[in-house]
Amino acid sequence: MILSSSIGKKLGMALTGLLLFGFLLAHLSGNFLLLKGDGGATFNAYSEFLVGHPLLIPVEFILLGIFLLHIVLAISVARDNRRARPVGYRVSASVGGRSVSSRTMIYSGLTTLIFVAVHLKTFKYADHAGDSLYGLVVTTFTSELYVGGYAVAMVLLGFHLWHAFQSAFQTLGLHARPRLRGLSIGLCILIAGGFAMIPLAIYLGK
Amino acid sequence: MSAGSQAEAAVSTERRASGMTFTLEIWRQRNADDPGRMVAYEATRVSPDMSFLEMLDLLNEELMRKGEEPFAFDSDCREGICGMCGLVINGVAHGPGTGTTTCQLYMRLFKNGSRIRVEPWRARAFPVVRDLVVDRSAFDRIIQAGGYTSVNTGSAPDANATLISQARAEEAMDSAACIGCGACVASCKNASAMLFVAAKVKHLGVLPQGQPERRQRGVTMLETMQEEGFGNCTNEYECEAVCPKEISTSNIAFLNREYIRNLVSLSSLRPLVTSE
Amino acid sequence: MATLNSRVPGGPLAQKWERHQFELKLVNPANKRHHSVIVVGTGLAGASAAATLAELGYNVLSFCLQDSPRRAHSIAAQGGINAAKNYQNDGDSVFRLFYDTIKGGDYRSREANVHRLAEISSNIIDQCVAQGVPFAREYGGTLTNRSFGGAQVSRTFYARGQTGQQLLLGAYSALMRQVAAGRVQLFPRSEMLEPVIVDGHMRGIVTRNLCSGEMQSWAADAVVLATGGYGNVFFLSTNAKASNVTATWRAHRRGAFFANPCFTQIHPTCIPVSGDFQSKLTLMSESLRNDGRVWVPTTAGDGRTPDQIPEAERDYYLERRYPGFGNLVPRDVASRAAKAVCDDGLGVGSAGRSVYLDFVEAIKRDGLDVIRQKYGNLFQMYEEITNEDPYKTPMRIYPAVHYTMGGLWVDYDLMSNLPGLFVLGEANFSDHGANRLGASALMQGLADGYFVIPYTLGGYLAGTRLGEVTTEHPAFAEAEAAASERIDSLLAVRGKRTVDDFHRELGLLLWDHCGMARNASGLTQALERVRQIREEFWQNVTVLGTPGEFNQVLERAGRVADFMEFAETMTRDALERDESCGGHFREEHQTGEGEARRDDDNFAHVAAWEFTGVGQDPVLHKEPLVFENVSLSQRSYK
Repeated sequence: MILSSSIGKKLGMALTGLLLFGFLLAHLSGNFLLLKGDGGATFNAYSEFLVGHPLLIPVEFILLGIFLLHIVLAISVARDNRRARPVGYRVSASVGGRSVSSRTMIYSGLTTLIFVAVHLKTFKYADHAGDSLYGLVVTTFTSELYVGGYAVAMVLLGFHLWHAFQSAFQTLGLHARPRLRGLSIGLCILIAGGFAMIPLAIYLGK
Repeated sequence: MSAGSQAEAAVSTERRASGMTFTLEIWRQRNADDPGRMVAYEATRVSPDMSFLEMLDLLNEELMRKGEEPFAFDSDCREGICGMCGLVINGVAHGPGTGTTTCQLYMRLFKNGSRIRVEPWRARAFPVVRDLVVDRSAFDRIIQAGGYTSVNTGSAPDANATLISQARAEEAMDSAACIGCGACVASCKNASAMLFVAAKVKHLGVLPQGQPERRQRGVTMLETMQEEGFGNCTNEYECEAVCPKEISTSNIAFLNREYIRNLVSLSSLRPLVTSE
Repeated sequence: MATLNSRVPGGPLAQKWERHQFELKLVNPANKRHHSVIVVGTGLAGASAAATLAELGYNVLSFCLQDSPRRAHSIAAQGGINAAKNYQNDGDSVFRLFYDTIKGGDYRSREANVHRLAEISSNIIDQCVAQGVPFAREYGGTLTNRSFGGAQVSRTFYARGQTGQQLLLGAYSALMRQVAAGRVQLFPRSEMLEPVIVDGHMRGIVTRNLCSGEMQSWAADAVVLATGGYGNVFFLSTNAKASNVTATWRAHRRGAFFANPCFTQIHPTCIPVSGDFQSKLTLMSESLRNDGRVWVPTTAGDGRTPDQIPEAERDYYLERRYPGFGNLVPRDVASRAAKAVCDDGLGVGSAGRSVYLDFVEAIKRDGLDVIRQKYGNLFQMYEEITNEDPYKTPMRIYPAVHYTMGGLWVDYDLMSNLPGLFVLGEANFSDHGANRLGASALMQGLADGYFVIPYTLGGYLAGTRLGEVTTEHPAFAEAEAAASERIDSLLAVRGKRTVDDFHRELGLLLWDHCGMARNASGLTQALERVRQIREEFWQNVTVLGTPGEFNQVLERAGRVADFMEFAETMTRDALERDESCGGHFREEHQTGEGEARRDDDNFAHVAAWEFTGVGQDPVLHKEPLVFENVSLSQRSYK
């Protein structure tokens, strides 16, 4: 009922989005361990701690739920919006806050979904019995194709977050766009740049 | 007396002879069933002091003299308050001026010789009636869904019985200034009417007179907005940029807070509606 | 035809309304739902009437020609609304508001109606505040007031410069609430083309659906017209483009009397005409004259820019002619003075039809910031339209038509001489006499709609035996046929000149001869010329398209055709009223100081005209005006 209302959907998007944002921050801080320069000892220990933790499975399910909800709502919102203007303008111009980011949310979002699928396949559900996770990461990031694809995906994610982050606050009732603009851009660069930097560093460091 | 009028006519004819020229592409659509198309016209001898609508008047007059049917467009007060006019000019609702309606736009803002494309508001909820005229009765139905206080004539207390701070009255006025033109919908990539709904919800929501029905107002108006086929708000703020009354998207944030407030207080199981 | 009976109740002035309310028969609450009422127009008067009648339980059908009821031209009123609240404790009272209105109207209105208006005024403010109208407030939270239109007390309530908008949105929201409740059926983009009279009673209307072109008949127990004034007969006015005389004129053609059509008000501070393409005029608040000085060059044809003209070669003609009031003389006096200097060739601007309104001295005296604070929004609006910066160069202003005091004749119950036809707001003639005071139009519209018609219409319905009438009655078919025929004949002319072209010509003629100043020879000429223009219109107008579709030219053609007929009656009334009063200035009747001179012995009456046919002389009926509570005096502003 809530999720069929226009603001309800947006509220759902904003809350799940902020949770996913939190996940990204946690994930990124874990990933930085890859750069510690100790041959992956800390990173492997960290990953083994997570894998062995009894709460991992429930948390993963919650995360999956959040992610799916975010996607389902996004598609529903985009579908409503498309229906709301069956005949488009011959000429369209922007005079307000419309940006590449805001206009392409559904596309940058869906690209991210594909990336996540590939990413899970490569690292989480890969058969790396003979190797540590660190080893797998390093091996994977020797491929130009993979590093390049990863970087492109992160740029798109950054674009997604650029609009998403400030938009979430407006949806939650905090009209703080001018004040949030700087913070929002900063966080986008941190996350997208941070994630993209690691494979590059590994690739170049070889 | 009539000598004065003649002199007036002579002077303005002279000014027009040396006027500006534009190529106009105008949306022509005979009725709702016609798919419609852009048609090009030349507007000549345009004075920079003409309003955009006067330029269209001039063009229509010329078409009629040639025996061609004029194109339809809405306007009424021509001083920026009735909300009747509204054209998308070169992709921008109400054209290049800031904080103005189409009728308050003057030709001196346009470059002589340029091409100007004119389209109607486009939204599922605003079907085209003819050419540049659309049906905005969806806005009336949104107001019918709660954009009022339920006070019958005669039952009001003395006007000074309830004190309202100056700041509060000004805040309400900022929202109440909405003229219902629909530019917010026209400019929104999602054809959302969220700014229109939010302005009314906030206008009544900040005043003591609006409190008794505050809780259901936002819900019912929002439901009607969706039923009418408007899209969702995705916080791009195009609406605020084209709004002739410069109504802020902080109204939308207010509406969002009202929605959250309702969700929170729903859980405490208080009755949502006290019937009339 | 019946003689005019104003049906003013007996008793002392202050008790007439209360007594009348008691005497009016009541409709049994259970029976109200069996009565239907048509309300045409959704401005302040129409929307408030429709909403209130619906609240009482009547079935209401509400019509307007705009796409939404919220767009009616009441929305454009800037200044404010008067009410005798006396919140400022400065000596206001119901009687003072009554007195000011009667005097301001130059003693050409009905005492009892005006007193009732003053009595009701306070209730209007209460009602509007309860609706959420955000009136301006004091720091302490109480309502604030300003003085307006030369009143010596502060009784004007306002919401920034958008009072009309806020009041209309209040009435509109009340109307929308009744639509939601199912008590009002709403018909936007519908134009009333014919009234329908059955057995001597007004029983319905015929409308044209402006989207589909379809003719539709509607039956009811009573019809309320709240369709505004006829200022657009001049083509250029501050009225909205669609404002017209059609509804009231068509009622007039079917027997309703038109009262005092020559009473039009001209506002002195408007932005001047800048070319023959101009489609309408824009008013700027009169408050500008509080600080601006009006002047023209002393030599005709002085081509210099204002800053090049030395002080000695400027004529501050208002200050010179009216040392007492200076730039603050009343609207009609200021307007006529501007016309006089322009007629003498002293006018400025490209067409020589404007005068300067100069703020240089005020800026020097009070500083730029003070002036900006007071008039910033007006200066900005002026600059947007004219591309001239009034902080640097004087504004140019000229008078423009903006309100019409005349309208359909109504009795104390606001019912016309056609039983069952009620007329409210600017569409009737009742309260403003020969001149309306500032901030009184909003007051009258809402008083009529919220607090008068609910009582008097009930009294009519309860006291009249009305048979069952449906749209099957032959009178409806006849009216539909008449309306269709008129449309067909407009389309059949297939001439060369456009509708606007004719409208401009008519407007200019009236502006020159039946505008700010009138005289017998000009009016006689104009009368002849109006007929010629009308005849040419019906032979040479071009109206394209078909009747069965959205056709804006056809709409306008019908309205202009009615203006053509109306113009004749207006001019005739101006000729017949051989005196000067309020906005009606006959050059033959002025004091040595150039002021309006009334003739109370011969013209203290309402002139109500009866239609006898197009091009035929209408019949004049006079309703004598009796003044028992005020004494008649001559205005002087020296």
